[in-house]
Amino acid sequence: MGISKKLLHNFYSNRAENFKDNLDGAIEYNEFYQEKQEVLLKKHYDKFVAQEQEKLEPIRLSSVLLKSEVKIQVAEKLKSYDEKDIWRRKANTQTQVRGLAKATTDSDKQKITEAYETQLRSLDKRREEYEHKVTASISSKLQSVCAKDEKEQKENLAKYEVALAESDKRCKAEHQKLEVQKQANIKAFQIKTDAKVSKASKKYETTLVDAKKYSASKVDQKLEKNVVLSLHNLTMQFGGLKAVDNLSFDVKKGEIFGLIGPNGAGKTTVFNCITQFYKPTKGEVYYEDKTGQVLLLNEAKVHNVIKKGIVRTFQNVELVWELTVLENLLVAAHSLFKSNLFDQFIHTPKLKKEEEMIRAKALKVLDYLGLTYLQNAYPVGLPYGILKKIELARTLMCNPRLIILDEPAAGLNDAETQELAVLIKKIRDEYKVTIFLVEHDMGLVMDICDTICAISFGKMLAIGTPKQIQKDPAVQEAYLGGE
Amino acid sequence: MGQSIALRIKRVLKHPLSSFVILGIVLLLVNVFYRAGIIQDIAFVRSVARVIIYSIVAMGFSLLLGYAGLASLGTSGLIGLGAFLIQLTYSQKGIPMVISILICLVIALVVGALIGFISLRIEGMYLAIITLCLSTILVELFRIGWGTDTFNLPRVQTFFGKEFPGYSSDGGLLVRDVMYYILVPLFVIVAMLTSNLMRSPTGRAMLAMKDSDSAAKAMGISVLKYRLIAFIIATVYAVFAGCLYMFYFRSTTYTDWGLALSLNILAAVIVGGSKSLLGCILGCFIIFGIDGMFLQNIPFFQNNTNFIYIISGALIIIVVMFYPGGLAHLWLDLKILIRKLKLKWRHYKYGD
Repeated sequence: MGISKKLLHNFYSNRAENFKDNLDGAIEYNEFYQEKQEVLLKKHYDKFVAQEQEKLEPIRLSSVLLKSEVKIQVAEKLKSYDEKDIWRRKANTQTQVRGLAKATTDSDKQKITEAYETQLRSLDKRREEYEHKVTASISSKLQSVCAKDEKEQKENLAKYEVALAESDKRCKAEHQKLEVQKQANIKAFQIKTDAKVSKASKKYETTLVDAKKYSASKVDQKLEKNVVLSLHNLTMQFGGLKAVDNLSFDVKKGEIFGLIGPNGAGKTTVFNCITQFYKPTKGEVYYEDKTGQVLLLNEAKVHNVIKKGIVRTFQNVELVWELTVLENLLVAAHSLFKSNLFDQFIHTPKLKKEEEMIRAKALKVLDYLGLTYLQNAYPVGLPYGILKKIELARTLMCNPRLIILDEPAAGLNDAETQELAVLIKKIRDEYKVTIFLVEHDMGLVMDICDTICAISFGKMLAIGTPKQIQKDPAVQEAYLGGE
Repeated sequence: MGQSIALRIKRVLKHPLSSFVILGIVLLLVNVFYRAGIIQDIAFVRSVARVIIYSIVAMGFSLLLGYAGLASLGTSGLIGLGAFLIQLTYSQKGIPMVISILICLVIALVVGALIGFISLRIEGMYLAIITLCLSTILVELFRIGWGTDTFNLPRVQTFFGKEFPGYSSDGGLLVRDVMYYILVPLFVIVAMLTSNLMRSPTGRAMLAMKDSDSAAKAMGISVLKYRLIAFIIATVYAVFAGCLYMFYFRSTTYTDWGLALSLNILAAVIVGGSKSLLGCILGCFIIFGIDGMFLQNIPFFQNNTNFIYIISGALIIIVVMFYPGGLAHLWLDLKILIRKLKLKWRHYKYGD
């Protein structure tokens, strides 16, 4: 009975999660669709404007004098000619330099200089000829189109101005039309999404009720207000060694929480217990997810922890070296992909849509961290500071609520560390996340953390604001040694 | 207008799947040329068919080795499983061709899942040894079940109740031709599907898993799921290739499916480049194709039939030492070399 109840509970909660995913996905795609419409509008409008300008070109030509127009166009042609010509001249100089270096007698040197000068002269001649040719062809081409005298020019200029104003009007009308179309598209799509969302949310709620009905272990634990993560008497034992011993603390929403301690104090073990890489021997890890439900993380599987909104980085950079930076971010967003294996075999529109959306998101994150120029680079051989930044970028990919950083400043120089401190604060404020970090760099920790917890040999020494920690005698003893 | 058509063709050619279509057309032309009398030797066409069939296996293997990072030496046993299952279902029980292939694929799914579960506990060389043992057990089962005789499959006579195209009771070679024309499109489809999978979240997840298990887990990738997927796909491809082998070559003994074939496929994938499908096909061409297609016409190789093994052995050593990415990297390296030469020449001609 107990097993079947648990199975049913798992089944319904999985279903509920799926519906929730669909719901969020629909809303997210709706937002993306609106952005996409904006881009499309700009593209169509630019195309239209280009067409209008093409139409206007003959009218404009008829309103200018032949001489001035030819001058402008010839100058343009000559500019592109000179771009090539400069290489010919460079090659000429190079042959002269090489020849002079080889030549031994004066007569040889003279010959080479002569050759150089004749080549230079011929190049000048060539340029002149080109200018003549281009001038002739352009003036013959424009002769029939351009204005004959100033009187005609004045008349045509007035015509041109009228045409310009008309075209401007047309452009504006087109813009309006496109805008209306865009709004209509967005509205239609909104209705579609609303229908989808209401359907999914209904299903979600009913399945959630079902799941609750069969839930065997009710999490009665209520967290205090504003607490995201709470450890209760956490103990982790490896054989005879207690790496973490009866540790309890709370992490509040929106704060930067630092965990410090001497080497081997068990900081990383605490991390691994929270992200379920290790199953704690004793004690509970409670976590409040975005719906306000309190979860017992001990029951979650390692690869499901990220779906609850907890993302972690690693002490030594663990990127996928065979993928580009952008694709690395896509891997990090793996839990956002909902398409199944069949979609991926065939590359159905569903997968393409998802891929497009998540790619746009990844580009946005890269832009936020100033790494856009590296999007197609492979991470092999990039500087360590940038690799750390890419790791940070990865955590932002999957709608995090709690980011766990394992020694983010390890291996960075002072300037990079300062930049990182600013960045972490910026991320906390803009993404509205909680940040939980382990760090050896005391400067960084004291600088950015709101609350610090100091542990030694798995036991808590003190918890409080940076100033309190600095004054605490137990912490001083652990770091500097007792008498 | 003409320019826009050229642009469109360029865009189509840039699509990653277009190369497989072109390859498929070239392979179809091989048999057309044979019928037209341009290619004289039937052995040439058969070698190409062999390359195609083993390429299907190699593609699954590349997903397993290059993407999921799992080594297996049991491939040949699984191809043999396909061949002998066809022997059982098609020729002994008389089940129609398409249905018997489908039955084989379902069995392959189950077998692949079983091996996948084993792979969860064991890694690296030990996994290779375990799969080798499984393959040996399978081959031994073939010997017990079917004996040591060579088995011949009767020609395919019916296809969905109708007469198979090209079949005549006096037994022309046309059935094999039609089989070839079925084989090539299937090969192209499998290549396209695999390429799609490699360029989708699954492919990326497998690469992440190969680099670091714990990082993959932290990113929400279930290692169990993707290892199972990799093994199931590799197994299904191998068994499918076995079925096709049986329908094309129509004869087998248990000795065909020993360790040598597994090693050859491993060699083909490594020589070609374990992460590139076109590279795998090239590797299969070098290991399985060159011998029958070209070298058999040279008297020296006719007298020393095993000399090809020396060449392929040397090739593997060279590739592993100097080209860890496989021959697929050759093209990229050539491009880089040309760019460097151009730069040098520019420097020589124009100075700084």
